[in-house]
Amino acid sequence: MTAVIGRGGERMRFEALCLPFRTDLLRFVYWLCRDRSLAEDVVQETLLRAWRSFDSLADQQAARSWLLTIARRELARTFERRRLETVDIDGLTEPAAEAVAVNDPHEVLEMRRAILQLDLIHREPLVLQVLFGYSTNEIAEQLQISVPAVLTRLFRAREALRGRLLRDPAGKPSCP
Amino acid sequence: MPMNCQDARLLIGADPAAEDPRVAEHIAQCPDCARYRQELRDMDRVISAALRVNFETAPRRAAPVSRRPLWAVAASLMVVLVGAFVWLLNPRDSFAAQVIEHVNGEAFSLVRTSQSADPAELAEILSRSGIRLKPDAVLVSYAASCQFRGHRVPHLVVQTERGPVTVLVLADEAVKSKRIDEDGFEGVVVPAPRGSLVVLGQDGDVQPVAATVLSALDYSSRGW
Repeated sequence: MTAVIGRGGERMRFEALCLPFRTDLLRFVYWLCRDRSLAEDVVQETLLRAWRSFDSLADQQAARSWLLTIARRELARTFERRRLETVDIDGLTEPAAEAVAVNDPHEVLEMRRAILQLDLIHREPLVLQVLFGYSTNEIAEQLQISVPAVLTRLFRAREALRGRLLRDPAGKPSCP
Repeated sequence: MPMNCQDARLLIGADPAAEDPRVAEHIAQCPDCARYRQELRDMDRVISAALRVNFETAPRRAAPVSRRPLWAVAASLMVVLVGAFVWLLNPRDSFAAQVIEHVNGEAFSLVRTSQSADPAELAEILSRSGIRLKPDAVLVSYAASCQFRGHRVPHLVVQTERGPVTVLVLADEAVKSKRIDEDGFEGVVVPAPRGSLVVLGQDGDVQPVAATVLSALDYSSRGW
């Protein structure tokens, strides 16, 4: 009985600590896989895995980062398991963008479409930086790549978005 | 060394919100780059709004049912076949492509600077390959231990009069000597006391740089 009560208390602690990050997890996984249904499945599985290994969370301040790592691995496992069919990007991004666009201004919708068309290696660090406020060092740690590689990917992500969205972008550097 | 526009824009593009004193110094005298930073800061506000998808109110997407028509599949197949044929006619040097892809992946290391990489870190990275850099032989501004073709290799950037030059120290792999001239890069692969050395630049012949770097590396320190 004591054990049951103890586990019940731990569950409440888990829910209080981790469930507030559900929306963050959904957004993160969605921007990686670009599929809302898949993102919801992956987040559900992520929370189950997190609950099973809740003991391994040493630092409660790091809960969000810990959950994002689990979600990232879970998505990779899901892709491996399902061996998802290759899909036509043009066919995927348009309806996907519409599906998450409700009452947003035109420029936000355009940006969302443009982000969906970025390569994953450019999209993921951008999401971690802009959506979650990760530093370049933290992104490097999360993605297991060097800091210069992170900086390069972030620069290229923004250049790609700028090229797609700005009609009259500032030209090439003119001074030496 | 004052920062130029290209370097400033690399830093701004990676993190427009950052307050880097080197960038601040540059944009104080460069209206174009100041405008570029403001443009990216404005764009970041839109990116942030775009990423904050509201799943609670968004409708679920219906499962896609459309199929590509047969003619589109046939056209795609034709494109693949033509592409394969063209590739067979012009086979790209796959080693050079791997080198360039790797260097492009860390393009941020390719900035003109007078700052050296951390000497302790540089020594540690080279020592993993049993190599030591002779003191004051070259200015190494960047050092990383990178996975390349199945090995951990020291990835260095050496500052030269003609700009930054990348050096990959392939101590565990001997690659046939060759010149690289692709995608705006010029480079050489040269034999080293152990394995090979890849030297890649973007502004002219790097053979003299390769010779300098080779003479600066001491391959005799492998003690394990």
